[in-house]
Amino acid sequence: MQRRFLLGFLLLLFLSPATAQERYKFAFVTHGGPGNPFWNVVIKGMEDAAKRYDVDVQWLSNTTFSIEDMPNFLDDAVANKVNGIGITCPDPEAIRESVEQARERGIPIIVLNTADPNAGGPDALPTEFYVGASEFLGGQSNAKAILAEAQKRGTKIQRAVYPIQELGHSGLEARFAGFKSILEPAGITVDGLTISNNVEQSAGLLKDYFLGHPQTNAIATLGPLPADAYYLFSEEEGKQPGDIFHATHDTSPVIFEHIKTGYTIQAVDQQPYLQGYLTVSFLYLNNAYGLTLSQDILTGPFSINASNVDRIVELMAKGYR
Amino acid sequence: MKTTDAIRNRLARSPEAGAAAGFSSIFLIFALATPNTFLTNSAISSILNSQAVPGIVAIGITLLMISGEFDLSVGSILGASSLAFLYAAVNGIHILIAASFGLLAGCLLGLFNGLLLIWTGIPSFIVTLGTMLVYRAISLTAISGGRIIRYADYSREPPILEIPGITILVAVLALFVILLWTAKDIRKTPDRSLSTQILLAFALLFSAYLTLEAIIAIIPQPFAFVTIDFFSMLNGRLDIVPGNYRASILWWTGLTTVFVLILTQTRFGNAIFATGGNAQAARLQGININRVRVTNFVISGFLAAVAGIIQVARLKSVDPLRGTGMELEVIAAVVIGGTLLTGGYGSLIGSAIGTALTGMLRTGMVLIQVPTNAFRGAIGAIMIVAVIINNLVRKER
Amino acid sequence: MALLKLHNVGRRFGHIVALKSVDFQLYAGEVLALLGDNGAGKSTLIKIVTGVCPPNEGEIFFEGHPVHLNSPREARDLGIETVYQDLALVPGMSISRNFYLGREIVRKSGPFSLLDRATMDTQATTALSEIGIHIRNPDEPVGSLSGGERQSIAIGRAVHFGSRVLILDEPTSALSIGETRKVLSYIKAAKEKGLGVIFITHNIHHVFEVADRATILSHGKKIGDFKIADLTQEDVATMVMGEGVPKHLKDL
Repeated sequence: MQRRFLLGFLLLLFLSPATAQERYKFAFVTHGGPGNPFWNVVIKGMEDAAKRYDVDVQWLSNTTFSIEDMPNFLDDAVANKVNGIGITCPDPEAIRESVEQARERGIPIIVLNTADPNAGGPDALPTEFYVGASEFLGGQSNAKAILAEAQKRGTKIQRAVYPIQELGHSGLEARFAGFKSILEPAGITVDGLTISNNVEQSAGLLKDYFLGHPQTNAIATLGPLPADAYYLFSEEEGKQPGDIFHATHDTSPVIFEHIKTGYTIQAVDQQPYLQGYLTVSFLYLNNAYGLTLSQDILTGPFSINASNVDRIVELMAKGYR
Repeated sequence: MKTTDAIRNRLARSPEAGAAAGFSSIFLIFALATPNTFLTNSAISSILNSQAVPGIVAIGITLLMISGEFDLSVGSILGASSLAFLYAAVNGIHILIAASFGLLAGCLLGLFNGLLLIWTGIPSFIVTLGTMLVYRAISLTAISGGRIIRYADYSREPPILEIPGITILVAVLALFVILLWTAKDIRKTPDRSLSTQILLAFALLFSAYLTLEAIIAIIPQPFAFVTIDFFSMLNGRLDIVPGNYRASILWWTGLTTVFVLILTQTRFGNAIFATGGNAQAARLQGININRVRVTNFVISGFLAAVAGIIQVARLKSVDPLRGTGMELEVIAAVVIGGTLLTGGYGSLIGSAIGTALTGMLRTGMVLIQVPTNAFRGAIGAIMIVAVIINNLVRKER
Repeated sequence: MALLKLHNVGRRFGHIVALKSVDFQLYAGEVLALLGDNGAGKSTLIKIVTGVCPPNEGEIFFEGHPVHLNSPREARDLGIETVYQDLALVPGMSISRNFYLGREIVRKSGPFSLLDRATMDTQATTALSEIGIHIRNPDEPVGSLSGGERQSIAIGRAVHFGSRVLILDEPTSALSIGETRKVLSYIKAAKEKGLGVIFITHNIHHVFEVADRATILSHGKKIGDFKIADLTQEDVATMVMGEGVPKHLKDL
C-alpha cells in the first residue's frame, strides 16, 4: 500500500515537469511576496498573462521582504533554465553578478516595479527595459496634490513627514526625493521616519513622531500597510480631514474609503497589474519573435482621487487594482 | 531483529548517518523528478553558494547546542558585525582592519552573551532572545535614517590587498607542511575516525593544489606584489571549476574541518560534550563548565561575524535588517543534522549536511515548480520528522 | 599528623545551617566511616572536602598545610578522588572518555595536542580489569550499561586515580552481593596502600567490617569520633538517630 503511494508520488513528480517542456517558463525574482497585498495584484497580472500566452510562471521571493534572498533565487531560476526573468532592482549591486550570469546564458531580463537606479549609464544592469512607475514623478505628484488641497482649504503646510517602511529600497528613496523636490523649495521641512510593515508598531511610531512634532500637518505614506498604520493612528487621535493632509502610494479598499470621506487626498497608483502582465507579454514576444522595446513603459503615476475612486473600487474587488 | 539492532546502533553512534540518509533520499527524489535541471552545475552551485553563509553560522550553533545552550542572537550578531565591517570600509579604513573590526564586534557580542549567562544563571534561550533584540537595535540605530550602506557609493573599484608574493608563498607552504605533519601522525593510530581522515585528506589535497599554484605563480618574481581582490577572495566565483561555484564554499568547508577536529579530537571538544551531557559530572571531574560555555559563545559570535563579512563580499551592501530570521533556519538545519536539543550529542558534519539539505529543498522546489511559500513549511515538516527519527533510534538508551 | 583536617568548619545555605563548628581528621592508612542520618551534614562535609563548595567558616589543612579548595579540580590535584552518589558520569560518552574525564591523555599530531583515544581505551580497560571490573568494549556509551556496571566504573575510576584520599559516598547501592564484596576489598586495599579512605554508608555491617574509626554527625554538628573497636552496633544506631552519646562512651 505504501509502496504504491510512493510510486504514484514519484510518477507525479516525473510527469509534471515533463509535460511542461514545450512551453516557455518565466520566473519573477523580486524583493517582496504574497505577504504584502500590493504584490498579490502583480502576481495576478502575471498569472492572467500566463494563461493568455500559455506559458509557465513562477514567483520567487521571500514571503514579505528580503533583498538578500534575491541572488539565490536568481541562481535557482538560471538552474531551472527559464526562458525569461522579471526582476526588481532595489539594490543593483546585490544582484549584479547573478543577473550577469543569467544574461550570459542568453536569458532576457525585464525590470519591473523598482527601476535600476543606474539605468542608461555605464553601471546599468544588462536588462531589456523597465515596466513600472516613475517613482520620482509619483513623489512629486503627491507633493503637488497636498499643496493644492491645502491652498483650497486656505491652510498652510507647516512641516511634512515621510515614513519609509522598507529600508534600502531605492524606489522608495526615489519617491522621497520627488516629494522633497517640490516641498523643500517652498520652504517646508520634510522629516524622514523609519517604520515597518507591521501596522500596530508603525502606528505607535507615528504617534510618537506627532507628539514630538505637533506642527507637522502633511504626510505621505508609501504603501497600503503604512497607510493602515496612519489610519489607525489618526482614528485613535481623533483627527479630522484637514487636520493633516495625507496622500499615499498604491491602493487598498481602506485607502479608497478614506479618499471618499476626505481623509486622503489622493493615492498614486503604479498599476501593479500592468507590471506583472506586461512583463510576461514582452518576455513571450521576445522569446517567440525577438521583439523588444527601446524605451521604458511607465505604468504610473496614475492619480486616484475623489473624482475616479468609485470605478477603481469596482476593479479592486476583482483584483485588478 | 539483529540487523535492525545493528543498524540502530550505527545510527545512534553517528548523528550524521541519519542526516546523510535523509539527504540522499531527498537528493534522489529531486534527481528523478527533474534530472535536466537538478543534476546540473547551476543547481548544485546555487545550493552550495546560498548555504555557505548559514553553514558557517551553523558551526557555532552546533558547538553551543552540544554543550547544552542556545544562541538565538546569531542573526543579530551577523547583522551588527557586517555593519561594523562595511561602515569601517566605506570610511576609508583599510579593508583588513575593517574586517578585524567586524570580527572583533562578533567576538564581543558573543562574549557578552556568555558572561550574561554565567552571571545571571538565566537559561541561554531567554538570554539570547533578549540580546537578539538588543543587538538588532544596534543595527537599526547605528546609521541615521536607517539607510543601507553600499560599497559602490564609496568606490567603484573592489577593495584590493597588496601582498608581496614571497609572504603568500611562505604562508601557503607552512599550511601544507602543518597539514602533512598532522596527517602523518594521525595515520599512525588505528582508531582515528573515518570522517576525520577523509576531511584531512581533502584538506591536504586542496593545500597541495594551492601550494603548487603559488609556486608556479610566484617563484619567477618572488618579491613582486600580488594584488588580491578582497571581496573576490571571500566570495568570488571560482574560475578553475566549471559552473558558478563561489569561494564561500571553500571557507565553509575549511572552517567546518577545523572545528570538527577541535570538537572530536581535543580535550576542549571532550569538555563540550561533557558539559552538555552532564554538566554536574563535568564540573565534578574538574572541567570548568563556565569557561566552556563562554568560549562557545565567543566562537559562535566570531563565526557569525565571519559569515556576515563573507555575505557582504557578495552583496556589497549592508542593511539594518541583515540576518533577521537566520537563527531559526540554522537551528532547524542543525537539528536535522542530528544534534540533540538537550545537549551532549551532535555532529558538525551532520550540521553541514543539514544546512545543505535545507538549501537543496529550496532549489529543488523551485525546479519542480512548487510555490515558494511552501518552502518554510517543508523545512519545518522535515525537521519534525528528523527529530522523531532521531528519538526513535535513541529510545533504548 | 592528620592527612586531612577540618578545623571549626561551618557552612550555611541561606538560613539553613548545614554544618557548625565541625572538627574532622582523616589519617593516612585508615578507613573512616562518616555516619549520620539524612540531613546530618554528611554531603555538605564531602562537598567541602572535594572543593564543590567552600566553607563559610573554619579552615582546611592537607598534610598540615592550610589549603583553600575552590574547585573540584583543586581537590583532585591534591590526590582526593571521589565516588559520588550520582556517579558523575556523562551518559552519552564512552567508558574510556568518562574514565579520563578532565584528564584526557593527549599526544602530539603535528603542532596540535589531540586526544589519544587508543591509549585511553587500552589503559582504561587494563586499569579496570586490574581491579576486577571487566568491560566488553571501552567505546560503549556509559548510558547503555546497567546501574551496577556504572557504579563499578565510577569506583574503578576513583580507585585508579586516587593517590592520597579516597571518598566513597554510598558506593554499593546498586551492586550485587558479589560486587559489594569487591568494593569492600578495594577499600581495604586502598588503606593498605596508605590512602585515607572516607566511607559513607547506611549499612552498619559494612562499617564494622572495614572501618577503623567513625565520625558521627547529627543536625550539622559532630557528635563524636570513635574507634570502631570501642563501639557496638547499638551505639551507632543510637547516635545516628540523634539520641545522644551512650553513657559508657562519654568517658573515653
